[in-house]
Amino acid sequence: MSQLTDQQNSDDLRKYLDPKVLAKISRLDLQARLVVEGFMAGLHKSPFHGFSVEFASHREYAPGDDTRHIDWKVQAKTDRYYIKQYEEETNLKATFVLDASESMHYARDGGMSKYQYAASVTASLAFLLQQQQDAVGLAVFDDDLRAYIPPGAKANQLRRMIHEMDVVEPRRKTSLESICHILAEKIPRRGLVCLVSDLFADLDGVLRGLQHFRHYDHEVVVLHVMDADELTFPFQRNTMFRGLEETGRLLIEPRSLRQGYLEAVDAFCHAVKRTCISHRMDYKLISTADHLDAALLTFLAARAAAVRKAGAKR
Amino acid sequence: MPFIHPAIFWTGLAAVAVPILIHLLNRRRFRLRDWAAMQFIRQALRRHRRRLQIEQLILLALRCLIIALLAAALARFTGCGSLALLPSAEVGRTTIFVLDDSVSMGQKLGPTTAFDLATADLAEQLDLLPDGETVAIRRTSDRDDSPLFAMNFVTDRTSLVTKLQTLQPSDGRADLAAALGWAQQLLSDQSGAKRLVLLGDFRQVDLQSDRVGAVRQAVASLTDAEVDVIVMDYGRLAQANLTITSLKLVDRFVIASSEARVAVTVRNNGAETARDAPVRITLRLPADGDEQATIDLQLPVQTIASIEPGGSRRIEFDVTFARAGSAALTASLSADELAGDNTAHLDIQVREAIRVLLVDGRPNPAVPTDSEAFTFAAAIDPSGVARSGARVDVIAVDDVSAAVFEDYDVVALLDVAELPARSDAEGPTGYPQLDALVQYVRNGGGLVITTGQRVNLSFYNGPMFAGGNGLSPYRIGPPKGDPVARQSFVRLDAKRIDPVHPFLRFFQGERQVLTGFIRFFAFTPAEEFALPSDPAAGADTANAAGVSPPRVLARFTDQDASPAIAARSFGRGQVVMIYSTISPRWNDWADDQPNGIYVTPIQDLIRALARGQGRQTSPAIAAPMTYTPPKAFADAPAILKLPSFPASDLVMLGSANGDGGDAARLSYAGTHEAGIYILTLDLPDGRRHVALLARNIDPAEGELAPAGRDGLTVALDSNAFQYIQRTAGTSVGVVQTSKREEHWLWLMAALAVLVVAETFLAQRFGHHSAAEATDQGQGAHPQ
Repeated sequence: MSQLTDQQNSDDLRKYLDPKVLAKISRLDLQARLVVEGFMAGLHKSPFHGFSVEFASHREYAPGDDTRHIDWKVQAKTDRYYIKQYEEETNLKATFVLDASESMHYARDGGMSKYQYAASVTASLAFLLQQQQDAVGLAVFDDDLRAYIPPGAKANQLRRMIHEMDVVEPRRKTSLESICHILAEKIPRRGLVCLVSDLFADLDGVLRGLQHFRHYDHEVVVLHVMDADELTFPFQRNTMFRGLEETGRLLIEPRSLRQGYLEAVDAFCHAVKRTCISHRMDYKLISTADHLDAALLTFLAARAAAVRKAGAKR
Repeated sequence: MPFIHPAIFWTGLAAVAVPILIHLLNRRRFRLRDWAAMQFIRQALRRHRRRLQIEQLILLALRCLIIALLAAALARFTGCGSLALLPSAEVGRTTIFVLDDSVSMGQKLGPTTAFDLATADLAEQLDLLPDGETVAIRRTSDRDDSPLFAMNFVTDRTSLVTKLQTLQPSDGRADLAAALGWAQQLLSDQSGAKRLVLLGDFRQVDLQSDRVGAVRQAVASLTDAEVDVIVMDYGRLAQANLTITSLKLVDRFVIASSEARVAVTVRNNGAETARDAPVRITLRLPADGDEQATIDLQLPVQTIASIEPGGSRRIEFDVTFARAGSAALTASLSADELAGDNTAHLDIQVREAIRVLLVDGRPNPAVPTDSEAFTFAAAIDPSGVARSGARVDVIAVDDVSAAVFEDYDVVALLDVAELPARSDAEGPTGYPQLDALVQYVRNGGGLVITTGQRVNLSFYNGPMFAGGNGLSPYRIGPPKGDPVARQSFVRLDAKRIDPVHPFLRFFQGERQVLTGFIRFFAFTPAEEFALPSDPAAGADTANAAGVSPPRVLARFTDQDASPAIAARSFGRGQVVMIYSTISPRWNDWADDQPNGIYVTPIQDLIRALARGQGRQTSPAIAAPMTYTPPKAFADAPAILKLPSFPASDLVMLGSANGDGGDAARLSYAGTHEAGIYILTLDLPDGRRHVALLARNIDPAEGELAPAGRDGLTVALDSNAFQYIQRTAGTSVGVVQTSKREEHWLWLMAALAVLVVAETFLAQRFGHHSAAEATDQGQGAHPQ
């Protein structure tokens, strides 16, 4: 009976995770809570964890903690679960690098724009990390760094991030490489850098910027957000495509060009993925048509599997 | 243009521009859409631009071709020669062959004849026809309800071809109008492609007849009905061809043992002068034996010295028929390019003698020479045994009621007071014998009226004159002169004798002076210029038809120049009235005069007035044949042998009285052969009566000058036909019709293939139109 009730609650929550529904929820914090609480119901542990090795104290076990860090001796004595805490107070310093260029403004059918979708993803993941007592930060950029909030674990950190994401409007061109170089210098300690972008920029430049993060031993996660139209090119009639970010105009018959377009998109995505993997970066292509929870769940599950695999090697 | 409706094709061809216009217009109609992933579009364009252009060109060409083919199909493409070879292009077609089998088609063309060549071509065309084609064949001589091959599929070509090989030209003319009307009616019930193949010689004379208007109208109707008309012309200009255009009896009748004058006219329808052309004359007579109905006698050959091309020569010759009865003459020429026009026939009814009835107004006198008829009868038949060719019967006026005028060729009323009247209590109500006499003259009999002392003026000026439309030409007055005293006399005015009428032919030329030997002591003055006293009462308008005004043949030398002899045509007969006696009672004409001054004109008079044999020539074929047998044979069954007998069967006509009609006549309408028809009537007692009746071809069949393509175009007022000039020794092969062999089946097949190809390629190239339900993005800004 209780299982049925949980399942019903889960379904009720999921119906709000449709991007079209989320688009109607203006407050990012509410979106993030909705998303995270939705998928966290079935998640056993957090795929994110700290890197400190020197023991400092114990703290009580919280859901999502890695069971490997449970101090079984203390449990035997006290019959309660405690986690070994190390010298570092914060487990993880995560910085979300959010693309706010004009190309992220594209949306279809009254749904979420790529920027809105990316902001929701960012807020959701930040909310998740904050729940794990991790430090989260935010960098919003277009051709310049529009906002930067260093990673922190304070209670209002998430609200600051959300505020910054709310006030930014995508208008300008992308200059991802230079932003990466700037941020790499601004984030001195190694941590997690999560780039959320459509990557519509010079791919080599993007990679050079991301490699800069890797140079400082940051773990890099690339969340490649693309609109469903950009992935399927469903247009029929003659269309004058007016390029965002001042990329000119083109009058074409979409039906005849679809195959070539899809090949180009596919080649691009494969190139990005291949490059990310080769440089030990996590890569996830997300369509704005995907339900947010599903998108995040698959990403987090894949990442958890990767973490387990890395732990086993250690 | 290979289209039935070229305008539709040109309009459709203009519509080929539609896909191009749509393409250009589509380039102007587009949606405006903000787009982020421009780099991929540019990348795809760079890689596929050339391919896209080629694909678009291919699709554009296909769509233009589809519209062009659709236009061709709607315009009913009739194709070119190579398309005609496609096997199923003519399925469902109807072909009608009209074969000219007129006499002129017998013209020699090298080793064969035009007709044989035409039948061979027809057989070849039948052999080449694809299965499933409906065919009808008609000769021009066929009737509408019995063509040579009625509309049907040809299931047994071998027997049909064999039948064609046995055909011969008919003796008739080519009635193209009738044949085309028949074809038009047949084709109007058919669907699909229709052809009419005309095989003939198409001579100029055929296209100048009064029937060419009907031919022109029929061809126009056929063309409007989209019938493909093919003309196969076998006509040739003849080099050597003589035609007998006429074989004619010059005399009005023929008397046994007397010479009869016959004329034959030959026309040179060839291009070369004919010299020393022999004309052979054959006399056919009924035979006495039972086995053979007739015998043929060859008469001396007549020779025509020369005839220029286009000219005619007439020769006359005498034929003496030994006995009375039916006879026939045949004139024939030597063989030339056209054999059918070298022969002509003439049937003749030979009389034993001219039968003359004299009604004597002064019968049975004490002295026979005092009768009014004595000298007249002696002049007509001096020997009394009809040796002169005339046999005379004399009756008293009192016996005229029993006379049957129709048994005589000439009737003479000699000083007859009046004919017997039919009376009742109130007086005379009519003159039945006068009515019979009027009918007799109307039917061709001859009537002589002489006056004298006994003539009843009221009768002659009343019913005989009939207000100017009776038998008597003029009203007459009381006699003038004293025939007893003979103190004064008048003569015939020699200068005012009619030069034309045969009666007074004797007094022409130097013999004019012989009129001075004749003295007329008394005469009955004719009131030449007097009007009827009571025109309203006296004029017999019912008799007016066929009555010509009287003509004065001779006048007396009295001061009034009174008519001495007058004549008038009355129906088919003639009346001659002499205003004096024919006996010596009032004149001395019949006295012992020298030089035949009396006998010769009387004999001429009888021959001029005697009933003719009806016609001097034999009619053309197809004219119905009627024959009135002798009364004794009215009940005898009649058997008719056609000219082609024994190749044709005997025709049983029954008896003349079989139909119960008043006129005991035999009739036969199937006279489609030229030649001599032999009618035989046998009585149970062994007596036989044979009559020979002739029919001739139309002499115009000898005029072989062909009209050719240009002549046909002018005559038909149309060039909407395919013309093939045929020559011997060549074959026609498949007749490639100039149009109307529609190929829409192939066009539609090609169209379907193109549509399928266009659909496939459009999908393959990504140009196929699909629903654009998903093409309504937020970023779209319709322009």
